[in-house]
Amino acid sequence: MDDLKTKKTIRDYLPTRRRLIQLYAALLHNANVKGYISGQIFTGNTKYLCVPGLNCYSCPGAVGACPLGALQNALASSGSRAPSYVLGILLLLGLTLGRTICGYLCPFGLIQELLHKIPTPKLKKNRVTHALSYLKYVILAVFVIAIPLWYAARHVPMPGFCKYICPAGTFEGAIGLLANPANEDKLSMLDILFTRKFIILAVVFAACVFIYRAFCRFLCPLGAIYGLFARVNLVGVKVQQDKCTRCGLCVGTCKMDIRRVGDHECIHCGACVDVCPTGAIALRAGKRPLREKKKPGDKPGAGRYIAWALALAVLLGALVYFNGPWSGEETASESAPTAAPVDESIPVGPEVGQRGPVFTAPIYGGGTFDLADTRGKVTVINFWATWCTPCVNELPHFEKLAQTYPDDVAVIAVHSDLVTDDVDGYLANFDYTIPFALDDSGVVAAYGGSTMLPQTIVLDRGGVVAYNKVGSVTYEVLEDLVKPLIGE
Amino acid sequence: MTKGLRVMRWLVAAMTVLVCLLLVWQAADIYLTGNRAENFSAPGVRVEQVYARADIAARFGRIAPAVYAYLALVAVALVWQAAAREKKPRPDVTAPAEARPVKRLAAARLILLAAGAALVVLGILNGGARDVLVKAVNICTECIGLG
Repeated sequence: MDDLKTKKTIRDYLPTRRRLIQLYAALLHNANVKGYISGQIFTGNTKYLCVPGLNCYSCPGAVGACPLGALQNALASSGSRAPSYVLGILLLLGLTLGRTICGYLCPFGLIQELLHKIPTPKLKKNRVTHALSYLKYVILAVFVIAIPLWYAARHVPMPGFCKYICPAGTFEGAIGLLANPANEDKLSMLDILFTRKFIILAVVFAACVFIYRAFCRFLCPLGAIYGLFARVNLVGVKVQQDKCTRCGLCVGTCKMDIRRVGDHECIHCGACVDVCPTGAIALRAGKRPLREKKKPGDKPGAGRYIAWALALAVLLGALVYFNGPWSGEETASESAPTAAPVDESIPVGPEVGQRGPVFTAPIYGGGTFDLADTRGKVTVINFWATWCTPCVNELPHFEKLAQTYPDDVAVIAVHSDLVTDDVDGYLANFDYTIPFALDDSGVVAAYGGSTMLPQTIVLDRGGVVAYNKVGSVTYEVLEDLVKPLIGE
Repeated sequence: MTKGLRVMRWLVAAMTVLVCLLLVWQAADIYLTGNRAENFSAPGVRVEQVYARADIAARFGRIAPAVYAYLALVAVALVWQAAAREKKPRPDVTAPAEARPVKRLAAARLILLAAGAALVVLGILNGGARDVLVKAVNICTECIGLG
């Protein structure tokens, strides 16, 4: 008797199967464990794929692309190509799993649920929370769709939700990277944007302590997208109408703002399965039941153990694959440019005080840029890309600098070797006179750049690095950097 | 639920709000301090960066006792709540359940499945998949809130 009681007590405190699946999914989404140690993000080919849950692709552990970030960027590039790939993936995910993803696979959903475990008085669902649950559709329409499209028409890539709201990006991406001492120099970039997003993150986390899945229910546009598939998704909780007595226990027990089991607010967590007095509710994949109300004497079948064994094997394989020495191969070429034939005593390198590596790069519109030709002038090198919002926003500052100091300053804008748009076509929309080159020989890598854009480098007249930082610059900052070097 | 546990939950709630406010206050203060007029040598040019690790560490050091006390309180409350766990009474709420659409569901799923697969193939062919990779292997600093 005592043994039985002990077993029951232990079972009461063990994590539920759903919680284990959530933990498993969070680990699989972020299997690049070595990224947390190095402070670098994963750059392998698995990032071709969008993961199902909300998981920032700038998180050091992330091994896939965030579907929401990918959607915004695809919409921002919709002028040059239709966003069919991301839409197709979202369609397939919505059709197969729908909001089951929110309940079982989303890492940010897990974080919210763990925060809600903190023992405080809780705000239960009511008319206000139900009304607020429609806010996420407004956010989807405005920040995920309208803002990227509006800016795309002005040739500026603008992922509105990522930039202004996404707490997952702040927590997993920004704080995840900044927490690593290897990224200490990136602290200099932080300003109003980070302050605002940090405050949003703190408020969202605090709200999750009191309100079950506050972000998921009121703000998450990804949940809103998956909710659109509520009537057709293959996997989810389903009610057998002939068994249902309309008692309402299912809706009453649910912490989400549902009006009926399986509607667009339902995350298919299965809390209603166990409370249904007639066993009418079950989590099903099509017609096949995945979870039904327990009957006395029910024992888990061998299939469940086989499924867990397979899942663990996949996780183990993923951890080995993503953290082995062969993983995260750089997509950029690493060939080192040659050294400048000046002051041989100064070592070549990207650090301040070192001699900047000389490079040649093809110029858009024809010709070749050779850094060696700029000796005698202060040289400003800007690494940018058409898909990088702050990069395209700061280009006019470099143009103005070149116009203001034509005899003393040489400016070169080097596009990342990862090209997504027709750069020539893009530049045709503007009247820039500075040369735009393509990094086809590992220039970014030679100057210590990796995966963060924009980056600005200033070389003095002798080619020695005077400034090399990631992050946006203003015209005032640029002028302040070059003035002492040109002797003003 | 015992009265003691109820009091504890309200205490944790108050501490949650307090810690949140402390963090928000520190972030706002760092920003305001970094943007005061004396920190600019010229318009738009700062003498010192807004967020510096030493400053963050010093500020966190000042609020650390409150944060640690909060974490300890949460731990105690979690253990207390687990020890005093009781079955929740079933709520007495009724709501009409609606029949899920069954007719034409399979056809709709098939059409959507075909459309999804076609869009993905089209996306791979038109370079959309590579766009996703490019964005995912690079960090747009502004997009994650760095600036």
